[in-house]
Formats: sequence, C-alpha cells, structure tokens
Amino acid sequence: MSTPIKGELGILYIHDGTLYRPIACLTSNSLNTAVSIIESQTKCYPGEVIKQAGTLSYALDAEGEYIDTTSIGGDDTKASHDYLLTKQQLLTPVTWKLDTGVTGAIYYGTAILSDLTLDQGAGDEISTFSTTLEGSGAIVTVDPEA
Amino acid sequence: MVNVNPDKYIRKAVFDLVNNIVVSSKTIKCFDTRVANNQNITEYVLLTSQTKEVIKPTKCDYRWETSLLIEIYTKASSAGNQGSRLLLNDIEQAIYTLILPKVTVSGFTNLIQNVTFETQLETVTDSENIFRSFLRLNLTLI
Repeated sequence: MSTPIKGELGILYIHDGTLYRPIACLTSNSLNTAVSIIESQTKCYPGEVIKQAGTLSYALDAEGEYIDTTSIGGDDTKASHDYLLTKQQLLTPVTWKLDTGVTGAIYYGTAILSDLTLDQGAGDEISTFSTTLEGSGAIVTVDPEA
Repeated sequence: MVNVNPDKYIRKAVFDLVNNIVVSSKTIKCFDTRVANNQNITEYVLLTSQTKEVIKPTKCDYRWETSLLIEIYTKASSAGNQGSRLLLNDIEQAIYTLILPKVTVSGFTNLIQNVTFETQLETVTDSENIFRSFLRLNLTLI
C-alpha cells in the first residue's frame, strides 16, 4: 500500500559550520527544479522544432513563523529570520539539507540566500518570514559536510 | 503532540487573578460555572464555557487553541438602581486590566492572547435589574 507523505515531515535545514539547523518554525517549504529547453529549427527537419534538455536549475522556498534563534536567549539550535539574515549578509553560499520524510530521499546542496523577507503585522498577528535559496551546483544525496 | 488538557489550568489562572477583587467597595467573588452553595450574592464572576482545539500551524510544535467565557453578573433592586450599568462596567474593566497583557497558565507557554467582548444581556423586571457582561479569553498555548 502506498502511503502519502505528510508535509510536516519535510524539513529544510542549513549548515552552520558544525551542524544542520532546521529552519524554524516552518509553515511550508518547497523544492523547485527546472530544466531549461534548447530549441532549434533546422533545414534538416523542416517544419519541426527540435528540443534538447539544457541545464538543471533549482531553488528552495521556505516560509515560517519568526522565532528567536539568536544566541542571546533564543533557541540557537534552529535557524529563523535572525540567523538567516546573518548568513545572507555574508554573501557566501550555504549548505542546505532537505529531509523529505522519505528514507533515501534526503537531499543536499549549496545555495545562495537570495531573498529573505520578514513580515510583521499589527495586533495578534505572528511575525512571519520567507526565504528563497537559489541552488548552485547539483543536488546530491550524500552529505557534503560529512 | 500536546498531551495535557489545559482547561483546569486556564480556569485556575483566571480564578486566581479575578477572585475577590474589590470594585466600588464591593468584593467580587469568582465561581466555576455557577454560584456555589446557593449564596445570595448580587455581583459575581463566572468562568463558563470553554473550548479547545489542537492545532499545528508550524512544523515545530502542536498548540492548544482555547477560549474561556468569563461572565460578569450584577443584580440590583429596581428601587435602588434605575438602570445604571456602572458597576458592571467597572468590574469588567477591573478584570480586563488583570488579565492583560498575558495570563500565566501553569505548565504552558501563553503564545498568543486576545480578548473579545460579547453582547451584554439585560433582564429588567418590576423589582430588579440584572446586567450581564461577557469577556471571551482566547489563548494559544504550547
């Protein structure tokens, strides 16, 4: 019997130099992969468009509630907006890990923290954040930090 | 998964805050659900209906989303009170002040709190005026 995988099992992590920290508190995360298409029309195949696979690119998106993950009183085993902002300001790639909740489907890679947004509304609304990691290089299944 | 029912802890927290408060020289007692021992008192506070739901809005943790209805009751003789709701308002204000900004619920972290106000009820008879006011305390606990 096939068992659907609950979304809550999918956790995105980024490496802090020692450990992988889960991005927190996640409300959703996604991995988007795409292959560019190279089209050509030649006189060898008149009236036809020939397509070839180009290169694979990917990005990871994450959204969550903003929590304190600073080393000053926060939960510094996790990575929320405060921690992600410090990583983004370094302008260097980060190593990420995506545990999809499926054994054998844990992915790793390197990415740039390209977008990071902190939303803070009024009243009882909880602060939220969202981020995009633009992938650099390949997606692998072996931990590059191991 | 949250595995401790927060109901009694919420009531205890609110009861400890609002029981025996003094408003306009009157000591206001608080009761769970109904006035105990058939006491003939004309002003009191009741902790009435409670709701709760387990939610998981993030991947970090489960939470309790709860509410508690706090009822304020005043009764006065029509001869002595021509219809003023002043005492009712003063008790409500006192309670509202006490439960802000956040109620401390033993064993839980009060993540989000807000208070809503329900429609007041009036019962006016030839001999007495009864005024009831309601605060609904909404708590998100982990």
